Amino acid sequence: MSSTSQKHRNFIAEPMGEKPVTDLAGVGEVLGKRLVAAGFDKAYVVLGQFLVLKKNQEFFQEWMKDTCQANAKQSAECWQCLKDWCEEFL
Amino acid sequence: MDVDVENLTDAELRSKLIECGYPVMPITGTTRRVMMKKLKMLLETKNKVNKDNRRSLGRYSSEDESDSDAKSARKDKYRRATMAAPPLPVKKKAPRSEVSSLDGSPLKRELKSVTTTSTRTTKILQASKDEFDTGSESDEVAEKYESSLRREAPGLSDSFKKTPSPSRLPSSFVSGSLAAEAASDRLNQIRARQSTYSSGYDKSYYNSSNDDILKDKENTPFLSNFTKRLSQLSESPKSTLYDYKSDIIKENDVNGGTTNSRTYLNSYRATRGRPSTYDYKITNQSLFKNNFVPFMVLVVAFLFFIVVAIVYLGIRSDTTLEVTATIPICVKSDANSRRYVNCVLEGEGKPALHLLHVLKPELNRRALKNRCEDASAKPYMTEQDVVGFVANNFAIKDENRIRTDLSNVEVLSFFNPTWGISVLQLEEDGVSFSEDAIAADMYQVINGKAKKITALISRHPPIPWKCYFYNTVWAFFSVLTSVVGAIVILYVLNYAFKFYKQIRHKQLEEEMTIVENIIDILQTNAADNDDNYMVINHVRDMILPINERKNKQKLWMRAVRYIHENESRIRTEERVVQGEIAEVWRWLGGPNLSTSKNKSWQGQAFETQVGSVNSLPCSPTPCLKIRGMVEEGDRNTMMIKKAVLSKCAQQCRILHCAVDMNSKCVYLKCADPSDAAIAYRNLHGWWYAGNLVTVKYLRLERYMQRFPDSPVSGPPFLQ
Repeated sequence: MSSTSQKHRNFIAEPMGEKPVTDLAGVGEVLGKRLVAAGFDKAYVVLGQFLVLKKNQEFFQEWMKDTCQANAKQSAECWQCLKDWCEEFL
Repeated sequence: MDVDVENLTDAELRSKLIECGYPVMPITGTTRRVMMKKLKMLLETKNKVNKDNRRSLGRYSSEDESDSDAKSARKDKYRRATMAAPPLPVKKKAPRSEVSSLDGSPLKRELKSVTTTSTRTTKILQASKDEFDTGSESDEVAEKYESSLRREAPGLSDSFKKTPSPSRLPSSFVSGSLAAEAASDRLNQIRARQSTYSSGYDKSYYNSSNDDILKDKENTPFLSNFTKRLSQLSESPKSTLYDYKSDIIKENDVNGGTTNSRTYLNSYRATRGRPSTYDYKITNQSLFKNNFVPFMVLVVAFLFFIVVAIVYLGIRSDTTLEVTATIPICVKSDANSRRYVNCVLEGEGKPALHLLHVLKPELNRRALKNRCEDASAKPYMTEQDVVGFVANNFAIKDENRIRTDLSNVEVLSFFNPTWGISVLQLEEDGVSFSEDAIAADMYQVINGKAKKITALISRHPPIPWKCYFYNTVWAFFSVLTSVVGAIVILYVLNYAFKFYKQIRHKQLEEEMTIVENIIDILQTNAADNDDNYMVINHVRDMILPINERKNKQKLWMRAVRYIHENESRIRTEERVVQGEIAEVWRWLGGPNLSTSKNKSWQGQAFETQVGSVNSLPCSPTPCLKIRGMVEEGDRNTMMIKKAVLSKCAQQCRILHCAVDMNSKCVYLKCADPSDAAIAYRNLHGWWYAGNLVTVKYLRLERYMQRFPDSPVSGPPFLQ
């Protein structure tokens, strides 16, 4: 993760609105599917979880791993993405 | 500690986590599992903190390894010394068994417990022997103990023969087995009890072994030895501080460790800590040694000058003595002898000497007055003065006779240089005269008589001490002031030169930044747009803020000139831009593709939050050393500093931040260790300008050595 990805930049460039969960950085098709299966169909639902976990990276990553078997890189990217979004828009 | 985490209610789970000191989130359906996992992990780690201490010990950067390779090498050596099986001196065994057989009787009270422990020790010894082939000697010893135990088992009174076994403890201890630690702990308790029974025994033994410190280090760290060494250490406050620090760090790790193991660690640390105190001492000594020679030279020079002064004074006092006169008598037949030039008529010598006796005190008085009291007084007497003086004060009123005698005195003064009277040939009657005015011989006097004034002067009047002292001090101070003045002038010049150079350097740097900015702008412009030219003034307006444009006009012109002369990728041309002819820069090089210039935080490589494997459980010091931010040839240290501060200054209090170009590190000092921990988590494992940033804790002493004038406490805190 030498620099933020294009997906990351796209996501934090604007309010998330009704974006699907796959728009989150680090969440691809597979993870997206798993998350939708777990009830997290929109990015804002994941944001809600992120906020419930008080933006704590460790817990968030743990949760990601738990719900959709995300690896450390994916979950860290997702966390970073949400954090940056929060800094910008929350 | 076995709690059924699965069956806890949300509220219970919450309270449990709070107990463990964790930031607790709301327990909801989705977070519950994460929290349960966390709690499980916490409980598990709590149970095996002891085993963990090794790992965190290794991660802690106890020394500034890059700074002192030699030191770390030495450290290794010590570590190796402690790890290896110490060669056991053979003589050690003999006195021990003797003594233990002597004091067997008072120990009978403890018999039961002692036997059990000793057998256990032997087992451990054997175990350690099997695990680590520590060398033939230790095997031998262990076997010996075993056999002696078996032999002595029925006669329990002698079971204390086993006491030498602590001498094998280091190996068993280092083996890391907890059982060995426990056993050694118990053994040490026994040893402590035994030493209260026979206090003289230990002392005599250790005194003999104390002769050789090196061997001492290798030998078993016995209890009394510890205390001795610790007391030694406490004598030097520096080392206690050092020890104390590491103790704090260690205590967090050891937690459940036995007191005994801590003592061992202490002693180990003591030996490790000592080289650093040694270093301080050595540097102090060498400092003194370095200054010793110049100091001696100074003293010798001073003594030399005193001696010279004494000798000089001695010579001076000799000249004040009246010496017998040599009087050349004119011989009629000799053609060379001329009156008033090189001889005196017979019978005229005596009156001349009389006159001299009269004149001499007056001459001295005048010379003294000139030298000591009034510099404007004439130090000499002209012939007119002499005649007037004699006529006024003495019975002789005949001027011709006085003049004759005076001429004779002048002649004689050339023949008797010991009188200290010289004849002067003055142009006019003034106070000052040069050395040239002193007549070399009588011919000169005769020749110059018509034009010049002839005068007498006492060259070496007996100067009183007070006057002499005053003159010397005055001369000294005048020399001193001139020297100091010269030094001050030189210093000011030097300072001015340095100042000038600094300003020049700064200007040059600013110019270079502008040039780099220009190139950057043109490059990005060429990359973004199709037309690869820009109006020069527009570029200026992009770089310089409105309020600085006037002040930096000169700087800008220099930068423009620099680009003209030295940048081949930029061509200056004239073009019509929006209906106006303007000078433009055209970028001839390739578009900007380099991202290395982008100096910013680019994201995190690995997590460093509380509880993760990458962050320490506690922060030992308030000082951090950050690697990976400074690159070769980085000129803008301010930017690096700003980047560090912007990353973490919001969340913690930072006292001092410095960029060291030599070691390519950034040093950070926080208000306290907890702030350092925050900074650590914010910086460690991040990408900065394409490099991975790593952070280590640095000892406060080392930090203060490097930056002695860094603030000790805040506010102000850096932002």
